Amino acid sequence: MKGIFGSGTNDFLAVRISSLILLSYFLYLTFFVISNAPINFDLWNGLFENVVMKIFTTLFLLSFGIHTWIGTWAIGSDYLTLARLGGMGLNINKFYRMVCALIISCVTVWSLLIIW
Amino acid sequence: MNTTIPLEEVKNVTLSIYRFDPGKDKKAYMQDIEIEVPANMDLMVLDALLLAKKKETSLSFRRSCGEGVCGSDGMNINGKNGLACVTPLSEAVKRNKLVLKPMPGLPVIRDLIVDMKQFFDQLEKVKPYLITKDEAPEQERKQSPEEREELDGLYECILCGCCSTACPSFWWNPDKFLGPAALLQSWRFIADSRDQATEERLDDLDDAFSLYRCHGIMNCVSVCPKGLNPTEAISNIRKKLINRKS
Repeated sequence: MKGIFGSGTNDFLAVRISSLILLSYFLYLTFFVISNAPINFDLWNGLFENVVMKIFTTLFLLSFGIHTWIGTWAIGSDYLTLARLGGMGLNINKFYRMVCALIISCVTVWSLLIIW
Repeated sequence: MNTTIPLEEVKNVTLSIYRFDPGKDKKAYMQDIEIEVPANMDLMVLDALLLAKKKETSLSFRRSCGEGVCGSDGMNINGKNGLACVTPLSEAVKRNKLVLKPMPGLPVIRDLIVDMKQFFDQLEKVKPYLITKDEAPEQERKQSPEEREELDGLYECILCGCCSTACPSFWWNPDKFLGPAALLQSWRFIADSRDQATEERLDDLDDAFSLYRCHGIMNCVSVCPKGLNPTEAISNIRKKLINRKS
């Protein structure tokens, strides 16, 4: 298994870079909420009307998709295997990955539609 | 060792030992064996096992040098992997009880003896020997003292298997993840100034499992009876792979 992005190093970098984007987005939102407390609808709406914030949120959502896809795949390849679950292992793993793909793509695409 | 010690100078210790004989047992069980150890001196866990074997002669375990050099008597001692021959009873015994099990994650052959094939198969994959392309020099391939120092903390591994069998990533994927012992040896040869196969070695490790299944929980560091640091070696290989990209 060469990795989802072609090699183990590419996967490792994708997880680390996406986690930095997720962290910076979370820190910025926390800073925004604290520095503008009490927060109201107009402030929140104004924040997400800004194009820079829309691009930042898009980056966040793509990072979320990449990070969770690699992460859930890694969990599945540890615990949902032939060796651990017997004959049904591969089918359970396939089903699990389909559910993960469905949830991750729905969350990402739906959020992008809301933002843009 | 003399086992006929005056009563007032001994204390009782209960060894709870994993027993499994595939020839007669359907499943494994724990057997309590009480032994008397001298109160005024500290034995090693291996000595206690030898005392237990005098009472229960069918008890099986590997041992050889008895001084932490051969790596034969790796086992799970009160929940933590270690070498029986260099683990003092005073450190291992809790409330006069000592629980001994085979190293986890490998098939049990009998009692405390595990089948190490998977472990050595993974070691073989990292080609743990010097690979050179230049013609052999007349006498020897030389290293500066600084280059030789790079190998300290790497060459001392005795391949006891304590680290790899303490690693959950190795438990889950023992055929795909190489494990801390094999990766420490991999770095030992990547770091060797005389080796000329660094690129090939790195190529072999650059998949989703061989190296990158290490999540850095450092169980390997915590159990290594030689005080080595496989996590650091893995991190060094990872840095080398990332630097190669840039």
